[in-house]
Amino acid sequence: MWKSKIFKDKFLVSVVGYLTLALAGFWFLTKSWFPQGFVIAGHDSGLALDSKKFLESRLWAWDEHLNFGQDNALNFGSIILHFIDYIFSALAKSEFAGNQISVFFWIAIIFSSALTFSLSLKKSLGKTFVFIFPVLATFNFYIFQSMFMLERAKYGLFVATMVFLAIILRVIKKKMGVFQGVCLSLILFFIFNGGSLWGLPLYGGLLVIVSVLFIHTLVWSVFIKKMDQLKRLVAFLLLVSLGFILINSYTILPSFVKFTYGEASSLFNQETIAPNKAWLDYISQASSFINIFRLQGIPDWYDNKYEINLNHPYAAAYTTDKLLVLVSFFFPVLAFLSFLLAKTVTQKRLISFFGLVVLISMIFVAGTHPPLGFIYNFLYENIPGFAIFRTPFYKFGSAFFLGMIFLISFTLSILINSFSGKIISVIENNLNLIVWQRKQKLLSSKIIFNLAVSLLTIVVISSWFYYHKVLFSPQIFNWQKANTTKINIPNYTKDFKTWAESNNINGRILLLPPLDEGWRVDSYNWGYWSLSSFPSMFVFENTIANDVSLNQAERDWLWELYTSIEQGREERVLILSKKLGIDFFLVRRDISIENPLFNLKKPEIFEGMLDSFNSIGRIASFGEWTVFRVNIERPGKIYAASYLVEIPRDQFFLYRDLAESNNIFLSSGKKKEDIPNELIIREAKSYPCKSCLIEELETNTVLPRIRVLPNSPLYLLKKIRERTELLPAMDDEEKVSVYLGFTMRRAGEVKQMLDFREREKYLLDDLKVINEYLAIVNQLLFSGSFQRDNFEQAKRMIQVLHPIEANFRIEVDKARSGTFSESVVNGLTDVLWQINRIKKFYSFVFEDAERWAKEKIFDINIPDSNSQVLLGTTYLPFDNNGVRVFPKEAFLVKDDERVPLEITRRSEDMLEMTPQKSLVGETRLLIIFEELENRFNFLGYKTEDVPRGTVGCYYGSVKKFNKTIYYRIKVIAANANQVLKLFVKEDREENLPLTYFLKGQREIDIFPILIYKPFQFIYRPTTTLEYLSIYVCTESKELPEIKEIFVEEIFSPNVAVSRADNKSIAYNLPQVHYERINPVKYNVSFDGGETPFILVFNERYDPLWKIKGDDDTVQYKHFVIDGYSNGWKIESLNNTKLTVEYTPQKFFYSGIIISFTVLVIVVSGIIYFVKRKS
Amino acid sequence: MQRRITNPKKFIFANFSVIEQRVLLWMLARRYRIFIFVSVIILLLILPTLPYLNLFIDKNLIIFLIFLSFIVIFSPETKLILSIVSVFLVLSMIFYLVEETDAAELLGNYVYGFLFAGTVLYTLKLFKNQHK
Repeated sequence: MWKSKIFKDKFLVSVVGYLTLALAGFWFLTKSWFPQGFVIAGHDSGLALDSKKFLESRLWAWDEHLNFGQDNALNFGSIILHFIDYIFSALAKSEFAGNQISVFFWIAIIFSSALTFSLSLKKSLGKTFVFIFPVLATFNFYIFQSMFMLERAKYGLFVATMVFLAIILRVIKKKMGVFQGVCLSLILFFIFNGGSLWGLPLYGGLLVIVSVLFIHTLVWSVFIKKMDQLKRLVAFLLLVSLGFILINSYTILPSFVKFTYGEASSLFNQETIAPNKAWLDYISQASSFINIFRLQGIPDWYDNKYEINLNHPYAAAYTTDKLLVLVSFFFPVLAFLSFLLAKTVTQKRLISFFGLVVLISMIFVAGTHPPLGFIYNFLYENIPGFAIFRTPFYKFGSAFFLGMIFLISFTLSILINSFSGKIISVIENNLNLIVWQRKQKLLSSKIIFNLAVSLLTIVVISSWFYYHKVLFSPQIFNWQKANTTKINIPNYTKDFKTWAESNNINGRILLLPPLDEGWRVDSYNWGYWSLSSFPSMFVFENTIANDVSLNQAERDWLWELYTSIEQGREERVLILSKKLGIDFFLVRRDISIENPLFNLKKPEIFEGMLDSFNSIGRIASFGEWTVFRVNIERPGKIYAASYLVEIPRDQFFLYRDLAESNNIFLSSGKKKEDIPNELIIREAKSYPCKSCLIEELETNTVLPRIRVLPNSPLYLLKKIRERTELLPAMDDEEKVSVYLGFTMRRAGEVKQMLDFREREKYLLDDLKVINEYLAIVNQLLFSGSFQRDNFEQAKRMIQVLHPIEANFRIEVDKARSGTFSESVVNGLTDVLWQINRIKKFYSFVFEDAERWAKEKIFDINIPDSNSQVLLGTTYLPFDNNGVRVFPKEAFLVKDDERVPLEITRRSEDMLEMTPQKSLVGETRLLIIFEELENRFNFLGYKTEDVPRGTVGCYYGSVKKFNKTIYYRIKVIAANANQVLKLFVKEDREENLPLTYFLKGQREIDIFPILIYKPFQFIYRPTTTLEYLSIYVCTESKELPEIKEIFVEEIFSPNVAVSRADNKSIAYNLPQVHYERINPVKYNVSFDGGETPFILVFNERYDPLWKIKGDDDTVQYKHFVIDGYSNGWKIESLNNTKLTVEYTPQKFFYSGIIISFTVLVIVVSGIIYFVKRKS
Repeated sequence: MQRRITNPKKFIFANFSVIEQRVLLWMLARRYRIFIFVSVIILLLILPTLPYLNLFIDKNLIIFLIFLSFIVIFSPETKLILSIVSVFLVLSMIFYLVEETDAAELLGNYVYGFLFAGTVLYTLKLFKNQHK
């Protein structure tokens, strides 16, 4: 029956034929893209390399196979997506999700949904539109831009948007019931939900479309004074929103729980929003309206606003080829020509709606790009949650492209129909043969028209394909010219996977060598490149690497382990492996070691070191991969521990010095009661070097630029603000700080008024106020509440006062030529005198400041007589032979008493120093070093070319240059009457001959040149280059007269005070037995032992890991152990059986019930509507 | 063609008078609008001379606002707006091809403004007509 009905409807037959032809085309296209063995993998695609196991892992709220474990509760929404991946993997008989069938499916589903959408508008827009729209909607740069990673979440939502629009437009027009529409929409958003909660920003485009539709319908209803359409729309949207929440409860509920525990804070936190702002600007740099109109502006295509990314496989072709550029300018013309071609009211209404969608979505797509970028900026900075839209082009692009393609398709379809009509009239008038044939009823005008329409449609589609021809080549899988995600995974990795799975591995596998710390990507010479390490995506064992997902503590631990292996310190490697639960090391020799982008360590180093260890041995090799096992006993994932070492949470770096004690560290929280005091065996606290603040001080001479000067009528507002800010300053320190702030601002005003030659009245008033403020500061300083040796205060003072002093001195010098009146000069001189007084107050700090290079001062607190001072060796300097320089002597200084410190223990990581006499409380620590050796290696004199000509130079290199250290460069001239410039140049090789003008990373004019005092400059290395050259050059070929150049390291040692509690009780710890039920649940039981003790669960800390026993009344304190894992204090063994559980899983189960119930209702509803219709 | 050659003067003047008449009629019908438009132009030209406003009003913005006020005040036909847009797009293309991307971008911004104003006018007219 239905078959005959379809065949009677010739249009439907042609649509089915068209779809079949298209699908066949897609099949052969994707087949040509993927020869045997090739799949899409890597980048940040999330394409599973074992789709079945990946899907299984998505069913749990905790993923235990990634590093130290990772929350998965926010990823439940991707279950459907990964289920689709799994189905197509099964069909393709491949374990990889990025297979040919999967790619075919996503292209086919986009095309089919576009066809559904265009079919729903056939009556309003004509038949030709039905055939053109799907092609344009499928083949464009927005869709194919992410084909290299098969961005299924984006495609899914694009599909959902088109079908949802078809539904919503029918509902508004009463062609479909509200409930029927709601049921269909809910099924749609159940399947295509944007993946996990991270896919939420992808709803941006849909949000714009729905908002425009609502406003459009609202205005329409108000104008025609009929509210039925608006009412239907509102009811529909409300029901869909409610239904969306219910049907996706399985993902929303656990995510909500996770969000309430702090995940959401990052969306509203200014500290997170501000750094992302730079990224937002970067993404928006080429999204100008003219680029967007031309269906371009894709961020990947551009290096900056003016330059094309030459690494992109095809961006250059479309932005530089004149013909292609010319064609691209036709797109906006074609799109907006539709406004002239629309004839019926429905057409006009649709065109006006999609026109507005295009234009409003453009504001969002352009992001922060001018001229309307300020709107996006405002929303980003002020609307809570809007920060999720970090990549505007990709997130709102769906609305824009859909709108543009709709308008272009409409124009083209109308033009095709119009041309076809004209063709008929030409044929009828000119070709007698056709007229004869018509007379014979062989050809009707309808057939000729349809033929013409078909031919023109084919021409239009072919032209579109020709313009987008690059989309049919395998180039689309190249995310850079030389890098592709289409790869053939080597067989030896599969052998490793089989081995790992068959050997039932329990412990963690550490990947060696470490990933490049800058990029943090896992990259192989056979093409894989991703933020997710390959083994973690392929082998479902617990692998660890220093990838992006680690927190700082985890990263610190891993680096400590990497460094220990590299240095061949077996004992430390074993301690750390035990602590981190690492049983295996996987050395990979196929990493991209040759890639100049990465600074990767050689695998042979790690392999050699591991081979040299006694307790670590190689157990298997698979092609380029070798596995080593740690042959020592270690506690399981859950174990009991006794004593803890306490260090402050923000000073986790102390672990390096205290790790060897093999105790468990506790990062203390703010609440003292949370800490299990009786289990603390040692407390350590770090103190910063105070005198180092002055050493690293770099004063600038720039005064703030002021917009509103005292002669402005708006200045009154500034005065009021100043007064209101001065009033609440309570203590002396705060007062000084506020007065200095306003002094600085007013000095900026004075400078600008002097430059602009403003009326002296304003200048004098300002100078008077500055002098008053500085007098108050001086008064407060000398009142006794400030210390003359307070380095922090001194530093703050000099940072504010130095630019004022430098600028005012120049102005006073100028005034000698009579530029200003005597009163102004007096005002300026008074300010300089006040500054001079303040500097005198801090004479201890600033006079003879060079001594702070070898004398380091710390303000410490010694809690009791058992305390030791720990000096970390990591930040100590080296001499010219690469040997560490240790302190000459150290003292505690309190009330003129000097107590020497004695080195009681010396290890590779720290020096333990004990006072020779007990000194408790707040005290000052003075550590004195020998004078550091000169690191400058004089190489001679020579002439070099600079842009202004040839100059004579005195030059040399820096011995043992370390790019992580700051250097002080002192230039001592032999003659004051010369003009000198300092060039500091980083090189790839030592003493590399110049191939260009002499150009330094820093170029500084040496001024003033004094014989009695060296010119000093602090150099902060800027690049990753390994060598440093220094040139001091004159302005001519004449050679400079230099007595000496002295280069020394600026170092800031790390000091901690440790209080050891000699607890003699040796705890009899219970035997802990545990059973892993599933990734989110463990049963724990105890045998014997005493309480209290710490139950350690060696998975990443998460407050949602809970422990409970039969006795619900017992509460267990939960805290962070070792900076990353979970610890609970067990005070009694009333509950001999405990359960460790990750709670979001329960919410997932509850959500599943709700989702399933709603799904059943919705499916029943659809069946009911279908039956009723039939 | 032949007529133009034989009596070109008559042809031109005849047409001039027609054009003049049409322009005058157009002006007469829109006398208030023209007054408003001229006032807006004057206001817009004065704006950048005022303190503080000159900090964010540049000549490009003034030109854009003048064009925009033309569209809003005179509500021209869609065809006219699209013709202006097409001219701007052609100019933008030329600038783009000679690598004057900033000028091309500026014209693109104008195109956006015209289209936005034009689409809103189109929509309001459509809704208004439906109401009638």
